[in-house]
Amino acid sequence: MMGGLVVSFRCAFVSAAIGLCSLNAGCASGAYVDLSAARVLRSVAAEMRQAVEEYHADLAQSDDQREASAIGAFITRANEADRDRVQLEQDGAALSEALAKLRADRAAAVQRYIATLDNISLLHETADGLKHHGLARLRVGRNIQELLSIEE
Amino acid sequence: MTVTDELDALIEQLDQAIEDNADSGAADSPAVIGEPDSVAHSGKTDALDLILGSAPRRTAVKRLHDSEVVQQFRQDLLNGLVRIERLNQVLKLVGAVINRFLK
Repeated sequence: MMGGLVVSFRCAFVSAAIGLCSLNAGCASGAYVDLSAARVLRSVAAEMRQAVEEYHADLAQSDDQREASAIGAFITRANEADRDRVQLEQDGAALSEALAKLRADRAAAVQRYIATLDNISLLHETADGLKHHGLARLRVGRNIQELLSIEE
Repeated sequence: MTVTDELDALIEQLDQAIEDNADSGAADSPAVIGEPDSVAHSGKTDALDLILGSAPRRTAVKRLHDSEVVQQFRQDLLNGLVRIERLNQVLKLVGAVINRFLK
């Protein structure tokens, strides 16, 4: 009877050890996937941020040129109007309207820029979360290894 | 030459004069006699016309900071970390029990 108990105990230990080894392997491989995914997300986020910054700078420069062109066109019109008050008023109103439109266009660009940067920060948050999750799984793996070394 | 022919010739000359005036594009001579001064920039499209005629810039980009997807990820991450922490605690407990048992 004692022999049977010892055998049962040994079987239980072996089963537990195999189970723990499997859990360890699963935790470890999953942890490394989490950590690699975190690195990829951070790299992608950095490149996306760079692209957005470049695009926004190019767009701002283009808007500056549009504004300068509008002012230049008004000056040309004013010269052609040659003291015609009615014409000058009309051209002045056209310039005001064009500048207001440009301001609204710039505001839309800024809104898009800020929203995109905010979304890119979410990539960093997700990467940090995966990193913490991966490290936590690695700690589980270490605890399992300690347990297995006790059983040995 | 009859009076009618002479009138026809005169009208033809006036038409020709009007066409010649329009072709020369003189700023101080309206293309059509009697009409008020047309637009000073001669109807050519300039930068102001382009801006006023262009569609307004719009963006459909939305902030996802508080979106359902992100909230779900935060909750799932928290649940996952809690589960892992509990597992760690169980493993430490089992290790402590086995250590005592073996001693």
